[in-house]
Amino acid sequence: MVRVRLVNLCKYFGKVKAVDNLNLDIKDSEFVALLGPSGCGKTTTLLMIAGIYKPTKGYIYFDEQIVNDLPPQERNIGMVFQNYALYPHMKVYDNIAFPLKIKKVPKKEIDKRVREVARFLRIEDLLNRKPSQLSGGQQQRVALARALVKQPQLFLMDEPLSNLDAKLRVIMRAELKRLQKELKITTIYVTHDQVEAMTMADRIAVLNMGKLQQYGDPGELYNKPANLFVAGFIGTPPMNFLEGSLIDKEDTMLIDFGEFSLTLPENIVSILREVNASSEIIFGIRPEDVFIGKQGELEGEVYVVEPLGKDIIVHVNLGGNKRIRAILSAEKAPSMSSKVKVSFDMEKVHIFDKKTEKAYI
Amino acid sequence: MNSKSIYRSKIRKYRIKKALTMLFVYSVLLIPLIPILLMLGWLFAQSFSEGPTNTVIPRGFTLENFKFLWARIRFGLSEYPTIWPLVMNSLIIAIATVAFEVPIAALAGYSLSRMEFKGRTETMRLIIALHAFPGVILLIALFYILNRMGLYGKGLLTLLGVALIKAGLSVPMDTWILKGFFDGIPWELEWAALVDGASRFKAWRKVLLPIIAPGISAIAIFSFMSGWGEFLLAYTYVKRKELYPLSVFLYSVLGEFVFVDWGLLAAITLFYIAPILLFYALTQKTLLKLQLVGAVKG
Repeated sequence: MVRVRLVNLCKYFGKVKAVDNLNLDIKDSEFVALLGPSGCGKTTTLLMIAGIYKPTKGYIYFDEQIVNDLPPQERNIGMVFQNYALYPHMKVYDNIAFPLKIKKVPKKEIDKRVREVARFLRIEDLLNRKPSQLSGGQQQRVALARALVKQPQLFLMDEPLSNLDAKLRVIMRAELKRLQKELKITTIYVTHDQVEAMTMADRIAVLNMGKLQQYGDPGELYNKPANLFVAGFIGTPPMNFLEGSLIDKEDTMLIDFGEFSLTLPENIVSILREVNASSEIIFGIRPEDVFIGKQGELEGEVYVVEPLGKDIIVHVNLGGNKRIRAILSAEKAPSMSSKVKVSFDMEKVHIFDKKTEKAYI
Repeated sequence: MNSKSIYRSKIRKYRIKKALTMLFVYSVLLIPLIPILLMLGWLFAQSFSEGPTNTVIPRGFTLENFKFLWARIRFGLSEYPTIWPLVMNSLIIAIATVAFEVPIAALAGYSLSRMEFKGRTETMRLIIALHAFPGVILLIALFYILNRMGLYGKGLLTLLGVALIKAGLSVPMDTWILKGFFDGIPWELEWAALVDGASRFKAWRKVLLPIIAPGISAIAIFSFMSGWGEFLLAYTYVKRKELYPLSVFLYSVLGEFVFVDWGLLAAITLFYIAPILLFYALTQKTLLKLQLVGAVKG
């Protein structure tokens, strides 16, 4: 169980800044997800923590020790790769036993530990098979067994669920979370799937283009996104964004969206005035905070309706090119092309500076 | 009705075209084989016949020619106690060639595939440029080198010298081939081994080598065959009759006098190529498995 700290961590490949000045503090026994789109630097960061890549700049601390120059063999980590990387020429038993054999653990002890971990992950009857004879889910559990058998202090996972079918993925998400809570091993989990990150992690570090966007627990990221990127990345269906300008009248403030405008409540107005918000802003509202019905400040026309079962997603044209999504329960479904009134839950509104993309609200 | 008959004629045309193509392909494949099969047939026939024959049919039937397997060989003015020391010589060259080529190619192939070092690109370019180098033209230069190294005229060491040269000329190609195999292994397998506690060398030995085993077998087989079949270098550098490998011995059987004992010649040749044929037949399966390298999911 170890505390990992990344201090000003950078990794450059020639001119490309894969990881740019990353600062992260991962507590002992915590489950942290590195979340972001492809190419954002999350796997590179993980490989640096593993010791496979050397940082270009900055430091990695395991507890109080700088480990930049410590080779992966000495870091006592367990790692699961996206495609499991099982040794194809060895049976499952030998795959799991491999780390212990390298450490020259006595045979009896190896046998005990391998069977223990196999039982824990419910793969005891697969011990004599070769990786090519296993299904995806089984291979993944063998990879987990191999990572866990040496009782590592740090557990690293690189998109371990992305090669599984959807149903298995949902099951394994819960299993992995449960596993981590039981074993209390510090875990760093790389994924591009925000649902995985939100459901499994204690805290999530959102990365984009090598830079940390925000680091917090799922609730924080969902309710208080720090910038446009995080706001649009977390949550499904994604947040609605509308460009507009702030019009500061003496007693009130509006957002002018062109074809229509929206009055802002007092508490928001005072915050915006306090921080001297620029006039060019982007307005954000999540689909579940958009109300469609007979009452509302704005008018719109239903563009399309997407049924999801219990809920439906309604796309509404507000005028001009501005279209937003709302989530309603299925009974309230309006029909296509009908005229509706739209209003927002003003407590849940987000306002971002158009240029810096940072959140004011 | 109409469409049905058009359909049927199209199928017929297609089938005829296919048959003609197959006929063409098989002729191209089989026709060049005919001379080779005839020659092998002659070899077989001659080794069992009493006198010389020009065809695939033996003249008489005898096992006299195969006496060399247990008795003294006598032809012309030369005499050999038995053939087996000569077999040993060929074996020494063949095995030494494998022993030199395989470890060097395996280590070098890995370095070129996985390591960053100065001169990596130049080395690869050099390998491409030299891979089909005609070693024959180096005969005289090699003599000087062998002499300097103390490997000329030193009995068994000369045989090793021959193996060394043979290996040296093939190592670039072998390295390139094994590099290709290493390239085909996903990085994650090596990373997994490192994370599991293996040093780079251990990871190479315990994880990567077993995965490219087909490649290594192929290299081993081909270098064995090249060592076993080596003639020119051995003929040039090996001067003592007792140290002749089978290839040189065969040549000497041929060149003694005008009269040639065809039966003996054919029998010894058959004996000479038999191990290769056997070897190749046994390793067919491994060689054909060459396409399946690496078993990582996805």
